[in-house]
Amino acid sequence: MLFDSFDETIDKLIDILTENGYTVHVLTLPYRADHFTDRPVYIHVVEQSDLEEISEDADVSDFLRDIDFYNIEIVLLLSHNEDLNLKLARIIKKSGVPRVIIVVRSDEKRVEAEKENIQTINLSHCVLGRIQRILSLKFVRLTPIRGEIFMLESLVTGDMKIIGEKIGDLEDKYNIGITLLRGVDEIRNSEDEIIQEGDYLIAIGRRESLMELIK
Amino acid sequence: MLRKDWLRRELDTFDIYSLVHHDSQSTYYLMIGFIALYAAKYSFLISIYAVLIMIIIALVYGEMGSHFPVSGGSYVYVNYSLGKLIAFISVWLLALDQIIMIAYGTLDASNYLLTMISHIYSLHIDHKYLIVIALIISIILYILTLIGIRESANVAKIIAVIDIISIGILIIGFNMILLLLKGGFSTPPSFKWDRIDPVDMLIALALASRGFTGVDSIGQLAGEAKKPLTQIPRATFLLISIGSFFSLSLMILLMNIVSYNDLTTDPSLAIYLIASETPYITSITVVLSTINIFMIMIMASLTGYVSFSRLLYILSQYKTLPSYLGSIHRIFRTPHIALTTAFIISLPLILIGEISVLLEVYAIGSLINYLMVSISLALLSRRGSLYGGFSTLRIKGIPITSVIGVPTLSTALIIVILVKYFFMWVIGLWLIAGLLLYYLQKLSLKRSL
Repeated sequence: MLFDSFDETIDKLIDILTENGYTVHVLTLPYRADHFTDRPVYIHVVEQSDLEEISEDADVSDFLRDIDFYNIEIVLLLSHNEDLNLKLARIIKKSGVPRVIIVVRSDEKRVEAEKENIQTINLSHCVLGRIQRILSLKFVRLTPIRGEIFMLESLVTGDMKIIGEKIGDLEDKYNIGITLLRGVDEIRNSEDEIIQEGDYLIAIGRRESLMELIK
Repeated sequence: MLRKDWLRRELDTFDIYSLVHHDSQSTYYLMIGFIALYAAKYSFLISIYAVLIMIIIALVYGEMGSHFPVSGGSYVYVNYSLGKLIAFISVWLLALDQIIMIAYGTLDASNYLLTMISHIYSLHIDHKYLIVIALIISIILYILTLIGIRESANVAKIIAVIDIISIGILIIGFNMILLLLKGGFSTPPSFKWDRIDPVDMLIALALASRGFTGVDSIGQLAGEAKKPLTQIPRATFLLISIGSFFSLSLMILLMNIVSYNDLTTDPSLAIYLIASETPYITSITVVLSTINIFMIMIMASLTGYVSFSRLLYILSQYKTLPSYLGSIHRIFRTPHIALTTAFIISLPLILIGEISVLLEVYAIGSLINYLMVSISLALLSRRGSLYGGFSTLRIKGIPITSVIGVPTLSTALIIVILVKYFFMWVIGLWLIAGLLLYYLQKLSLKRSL
């Protein structure tokens, strides 16, 4: 479930999450509801006054009767109001959602949230990038290096055809260079290394070769 | 790492419409002759009733679908408002219709093909070939739906366009223009059948109540639509517009250019009779309409595959049925086990080659399901915060579609049960089998906890 960020972040995040197979519930204010009707998401509207007036002792069903929180895996509270994010996070956490992530501005709120096992992302960081890494979301990033040469970063997901291939074979086939990050801090780049689901793939080469690699 | 199985979101509005068009139209193409046979001079009024039922069902699905971006249609809707058990019963009954549709669509397509071949070559073809061809068709459809929804939608789209051209333009459009130019229309609502009294109005009403079964498939496809909250209502508007135009126009033509006596010889050939009475281009319309109905029946079967497999997929997602039934193929991203289940269950029905008993109970489950969805829509709109991309007029907070839909669909259901009560044991057996599966799954979940 996502609480509206009221900027482009939520649109991009919806795209990434739905591309990764998540069913997304968006919580927003009534005036923003139409903004989401072109997206494959559930739209839940709540009055601003209800959000502001709700106390931390409240039950989540007091203002959100339509979401079955028992089946919600992750809640992301993205508004720029860190107090509201933290308040909602506490209420939702009580309903048993295993993972609640909020956006904060200050260190004080970060410490406060993390004490209660609520994950945080600082608004001054790249929020999308952080969420992608925290949730291990499938994504592809192409960074231009020089001319037609690009660097590709991508998480290897179960539906990619490169799973089971040797690094050396792919390097020869596409005329590119490949390095894998596996687990927390393992760097794998030997020719015989086999690509596995969950690897973080870094490749350098011509744009069209890289696109062909991850097609 | 978090990893999820998911269906590809590749369908546009017309793709969604195309996949449902055959299901909805095929039923009416079959029923129109029988409705006319029993209602005689009141056939046009009965077809208005059939269209009204279709509009109500489509609007309910359009409005419901605009709230839910996931596959599962009826199950998701009823589960949301009335709970898991009612939702399961409701869609389990619907699933029976989808299996029957696979069997009778392939058998009927095979029948049309053999009739055409025997007509052209003056041959007598053995009944066993009907089953062999139906089996081949079913296997091809199974493979097609296994490969992917995009591929199925493309085929569905081509055939929907052919249907619109052959029936919509060549038969309806051409005949209507000729009748207008020649002043050949008789006075409605009886047209040229004003002296023919109805045979049995209750049977005619019962048939009309089931005339557009298949509208529900639209809700199953939300999980594969690019923009479900807006595309599902748009697809239902297409269904309402094209469905109403075709149905009313075909009945008007039947009552204006076909004699009642000709119809009594074989009511299932009503469209063929209209095509053969089309002046100037008779040979084109006869050939095209025969090929067209052959393809429509095939596509209705395909829709049966798609809808049944998506239902099983969503039931397993909600842990109402075992999870393996909803597993997604790694490459094709289609629910392959559910598709295989559909193929296997429909196989004996095809092998029997005679499904008249099952046709007698066809669509009763669907009507029960539509009634449940109408009630669910009323409850959803009263309940709260879920926002939809489309809504109809509210009366005391309840959508007008539900206000009209609940009593109308209840009446339609009572009429159908009154006429078909002696075949209800088939539905009863199917329901018992479903409830058994439901409680076994519940038991195994409890044990695993």
